Amino acid sequence: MISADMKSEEGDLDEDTINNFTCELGVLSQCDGSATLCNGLTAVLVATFGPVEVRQQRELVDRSSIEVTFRGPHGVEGVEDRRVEQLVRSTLEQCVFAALHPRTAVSVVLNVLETDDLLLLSTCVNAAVLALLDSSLSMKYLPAAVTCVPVGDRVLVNPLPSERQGSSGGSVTAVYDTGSERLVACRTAGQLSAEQLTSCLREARRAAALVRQLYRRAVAAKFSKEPRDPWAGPSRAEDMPPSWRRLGGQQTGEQSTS
Amino acid sequence: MKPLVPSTCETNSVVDAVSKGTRLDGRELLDHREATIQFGREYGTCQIRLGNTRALATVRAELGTPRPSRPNEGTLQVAVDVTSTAAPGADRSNDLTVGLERLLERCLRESRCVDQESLCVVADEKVWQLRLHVELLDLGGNACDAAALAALAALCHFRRPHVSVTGGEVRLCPADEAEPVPLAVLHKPVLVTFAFFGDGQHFVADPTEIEERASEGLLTVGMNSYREICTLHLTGKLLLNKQQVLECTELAAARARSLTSQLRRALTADEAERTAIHPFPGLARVELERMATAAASVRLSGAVRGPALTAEQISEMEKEVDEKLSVFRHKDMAAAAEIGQGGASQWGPPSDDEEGDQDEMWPRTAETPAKTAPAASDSDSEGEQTVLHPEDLEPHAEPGTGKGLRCPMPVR
Repeated sequence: MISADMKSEEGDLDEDTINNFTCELGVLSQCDGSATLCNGLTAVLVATFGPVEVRQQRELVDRSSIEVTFRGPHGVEGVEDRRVEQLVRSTLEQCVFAALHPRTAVSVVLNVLETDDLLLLSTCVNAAVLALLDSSLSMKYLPAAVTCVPVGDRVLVNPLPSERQGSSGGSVTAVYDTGSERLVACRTAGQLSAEQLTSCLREARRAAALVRQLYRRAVAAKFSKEPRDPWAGPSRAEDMPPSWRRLGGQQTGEQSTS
Repeated sequence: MKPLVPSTCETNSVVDAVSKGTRLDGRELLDHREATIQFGREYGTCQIRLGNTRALATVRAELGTPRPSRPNEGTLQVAVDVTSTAAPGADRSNDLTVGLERLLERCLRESRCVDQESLCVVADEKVWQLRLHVELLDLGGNACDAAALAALAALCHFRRPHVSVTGGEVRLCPADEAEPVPLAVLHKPVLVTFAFFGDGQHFVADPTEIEERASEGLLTVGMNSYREICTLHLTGKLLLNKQQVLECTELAAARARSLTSQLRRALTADEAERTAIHPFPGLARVELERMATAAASVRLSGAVRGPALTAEQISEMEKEVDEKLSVFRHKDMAAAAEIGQGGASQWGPPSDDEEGDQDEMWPRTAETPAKTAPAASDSDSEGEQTVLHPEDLEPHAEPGTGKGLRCPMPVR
């Protein structure tokens, strides 16, 4: 059982355990906030518009209405898409300062570029938070989502498919408030024993602190004084998502002026 | 969410600027933005960024029945999607989606950019049906050009599975058995858009979204690098004369040439990166298996047509094949480039000039069918195309008969 006053332990968890976490803010031009987040083989692009005008039936008199739209990688809609939307919406409804913007809507659009299905939920939640950070919407706290898979007697955090050999198929996606370290949302898949669930939640809580560091780095990069060419995308090669290799063309991005 | 309505002062300032020969982003009137081409992990996925405009194209292929009017041709279907991320209210805009779909079909399908007859597997029964899906992730102006370039790049990048037809049965070969085959792209058409202002007096190339909204009309020219016009498309309340259209096509020709050479460089670079990751391309593995089959056939074959081989000859040939097989077995993956450096390549198309060796490489069934062990060929690690020969489509015979020992020749 997780008790409220459990403090985070010192451990050997470092940034390498969160594999291939690369993100960039402000990638789209027509929306209020946008972010790309790549975690392992899962890449998600999120755009937020808000606060904007809300439809009559969705209008709330005392706060903003959060609308989440999820589009899967192959465009065929299903019930799973609605489940992802529901998790992201319930997380954001708690953390966004909706009372500041009554009778408006905040629309969050999640676009999956590629996925390996396991890390999809946590990547979507984290990418949505990054996009809201980019749009400078007020939030009460920053939630961070982490996926844990128990393998044998260890717990793997955000594992790649190659590392998941030997797992029994169970996984836990946990969303933590990175400030107070309280559990915001939790979704499990597959079979887990009670001890496995407990240890997964504990590891997720520790890893959520690292995700928060990622948020800080992303926002710092956005406001850094280094010249960032708006046409060129991520400035460093190591920020590129692993599967989207940059090829061809003049990458300087200088506008051709005479 | 409703789309944003452009303000009057914005549109007026754009028109004023163009009439004075300047643009809001500092470009010259006829300057294009740089296009960035990125290929994805799977074959046939490509993302194009043209300034703020982003288009993502995916090509998928599946086997199906052909259209009754064209029983010998495959099909190419285009679907365009404007995602909600592209602009507020953009996903409700059907005009853009339908217009772009039709424009891409004209530019790519009706101009015969992809050779649809090469997509036929069995006439009247099985053809490849290509589905091209273009997603517009960001509308920063000139979505036509970005979508068309993404679609073209995805078609050039795409590889379909190799198909083997045995008797009446069609079998898809998995990627580790036979290398996927690229599409036959006959020419590479790209779209170039111009926006007109002031009753057609001024025009700009590669308009941004605010210039598009402020313009009176758009002229889209589809051209390939051979200066052939594939598409002409005029929208808006605009009347043009012949001189203006010719001027635009001249500019489009230059842009098409530079875009196609940029695309070619990007494809080459992508191919180099892929084969660098896999030092043993599928083809080398196939050859290994064929050689093993050949060696086994030599041992198994009792009654072979032609002059009987003595036991010494057979064991000699076995030794030869074993030696060459051991090259594959014992060499490291990293040393793949060293294979084949021992001697001249014995692979090559049969020609009248060369005799001797060539005759032995291509035995007629009446002659020595057993001596077909291919040389340790120069299996360089560049991914080469596999060219289908008529022999490849014939059924491989059982070991024990003469025919089974003819190894189809991969062209280097």
